Amino acid sequence: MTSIGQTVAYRTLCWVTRMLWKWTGTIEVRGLEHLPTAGPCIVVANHESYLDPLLLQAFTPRVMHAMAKSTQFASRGMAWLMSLVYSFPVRRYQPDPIAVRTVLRLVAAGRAVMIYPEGERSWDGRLQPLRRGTVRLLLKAGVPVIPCRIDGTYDAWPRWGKLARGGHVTITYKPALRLTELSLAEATRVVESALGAPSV
Amino acid sequence: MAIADVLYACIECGRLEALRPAGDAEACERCATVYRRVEGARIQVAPPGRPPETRSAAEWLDMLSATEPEPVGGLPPEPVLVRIAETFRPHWTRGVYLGRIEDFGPEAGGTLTLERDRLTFEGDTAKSTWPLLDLTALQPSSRALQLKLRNGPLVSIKFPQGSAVLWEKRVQRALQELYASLGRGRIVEFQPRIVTG
Repeated sequence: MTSIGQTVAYRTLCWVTRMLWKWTGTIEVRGLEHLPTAGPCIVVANHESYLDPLLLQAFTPRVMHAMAKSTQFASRGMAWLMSLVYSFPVRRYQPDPIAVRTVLRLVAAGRAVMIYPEGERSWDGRLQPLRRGTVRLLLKAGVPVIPCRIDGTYDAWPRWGKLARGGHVTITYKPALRLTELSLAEATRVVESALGAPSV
Repeated sequence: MAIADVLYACIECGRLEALRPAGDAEACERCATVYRRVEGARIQVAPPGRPPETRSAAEWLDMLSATEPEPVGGLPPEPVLVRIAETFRPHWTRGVYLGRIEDFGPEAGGTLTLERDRLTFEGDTAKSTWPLLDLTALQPSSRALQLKLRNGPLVSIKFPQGSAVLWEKRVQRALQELYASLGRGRIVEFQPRIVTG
């Protein structure tokens, strides 16, 4: 699934994003020590803006394989670009066993996967209910689940905003969650609690 | 995208889908209250003749949600743009099959009507009726509302003069009322499939 060319392209796009953002706003990344430098993990993040995946991938040293809605891949150009940045599609309007299999295959290969368990960007900046299927997947994967709280991207570019504005963004990685042995409801509460509180 | 996408009614007079572009801001077409994005993502609301007030979108939305919900049915037809994905194409990356991607057809203009048990789209050349009980999922996507029909296509609906947030609420409410009237229980999830609990 990977190649040197793709890695170079990914790193270049990350560099370009970092340069653009440093020109536009400021950013602080905290808790990187909680993100394993190697080996499988799933990063779960709150989703407030189009900026989230761009900034998360650009300012995180590890390559992240991001789950993205299938309609993002609708045009061939976007499908190519999404694949270039290691994104893979999920159909959100029906259970998608292929997306689940892709996640399990990636973590089995020791990769880091990024998922937004709310399933879509928030309209008002508040955390939305988590998709039960996503929490089931976190339980099934059995790998470290790293919560990541993103603050500031909603102010910079809310879902209803016509344009992105600058601003200060904080990305906070938190300690890995222990979800095994938990029920679906308990795991949902644990993840919600980890993602819900804005970082101070 | 616009403030009208998230604030689906005027805070001041309550008129639904009333915000229209007005220079670098938006204004209620009935009471002329002006809405403007100010610092960050905060929204300033300026009723005529009164000092403006600034709050977060969440706070304004809470105020709207506290108002009396409109009855299902009896709504006028809403202008919409509809795209339908009848077919799908496989998506491969470096020889690995990653699933099917929707092939959306051309955009068609028309009107959408919500009744107690169905949605009806009347386009320039065709008319489609989608019974609510045939919906297997309902989800917002960017500025559109998407419906998945049982053994049928994915329908993406945009509301050029309206709000996808409002229409999501409307269809969700119609579904809840229909399911309740049939004794099917309360819907607890609308995507990836409609599930009762």
